[in-house]
Amino acid sequence: MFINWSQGEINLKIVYYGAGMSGKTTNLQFIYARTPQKLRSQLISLKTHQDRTLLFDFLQLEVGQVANLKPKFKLYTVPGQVYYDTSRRLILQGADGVVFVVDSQADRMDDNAELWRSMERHLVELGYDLKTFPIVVQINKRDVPNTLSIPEIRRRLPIKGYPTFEAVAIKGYGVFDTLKASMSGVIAAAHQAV
Amino acid sequence: MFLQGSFNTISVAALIQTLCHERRSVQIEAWRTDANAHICLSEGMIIAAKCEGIEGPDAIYKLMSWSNGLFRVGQLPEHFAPTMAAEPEGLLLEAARQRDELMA
Repeated sequence: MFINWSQGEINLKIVYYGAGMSGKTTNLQFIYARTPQKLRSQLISLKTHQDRTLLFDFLQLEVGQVANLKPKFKLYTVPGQVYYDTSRRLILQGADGVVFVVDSQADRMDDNAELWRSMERHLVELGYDLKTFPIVVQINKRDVPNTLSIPEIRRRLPIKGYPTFEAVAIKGYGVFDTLKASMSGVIAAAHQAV
Repeated sequence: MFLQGSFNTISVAALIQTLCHERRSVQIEAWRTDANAHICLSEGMIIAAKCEGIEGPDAIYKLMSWSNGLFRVGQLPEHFAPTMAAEPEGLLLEAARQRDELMA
């Protein structure tokens, strides 16, 4: 969280975290395309192996103000390949919330689990309290063959207790439900902090 | 000079991010045993960078590899002529990407 007093804004950072090709970039591209141009910044895109790191920010006027400050959300994706650990840690620095994007395909569960563990490790090392930090889970790619059932995914990943949304991000299903839940969690935490 | 410290206390990335967030117009002088660096920021942008004889974006990537060293932050000289204009986040993320790929 960063308060820009001169602009009357509170900057809040949400990081889309998850395995490579799980759909993080697709989420951000969908959100970016549907955010009014006058409310959003340029989309910054950095190429990494297999996917891209994206970031942009936008003013969110519907969620109300926090201590008379306008919330400005900054959305980031992390590169999902295992070896981009320094990059993920840098991106998580200063995060106010995380959307963890799960790839529903059976053969991706080990990757999902590894990225979940890395997220928890980074958050703890950065001083976050996992009991209170706003994490929202998106179970993506519900439309592709070879997906596991939701109960099976819940059994395989430690996502119990977190707000969870099914999604087909490539078609936009569940994208804004997930984002709104994350923004609500982040705003609630900001109200407590400010 | 209005701020000084060690990269053991605050990382290079965190220092640059914080100063850019606050849209400070400042210069960062950094040094360690056998090397030094000079970064200039203006209104949230990186406008000059030199590290170990390297200039421009590559100087930021080089400085990001420092895990120790000292720094001081002072006022940007008047009429300073920028040699670049880059968003800090893009450069810092690119530096992290290069480091990850080098170590992969």
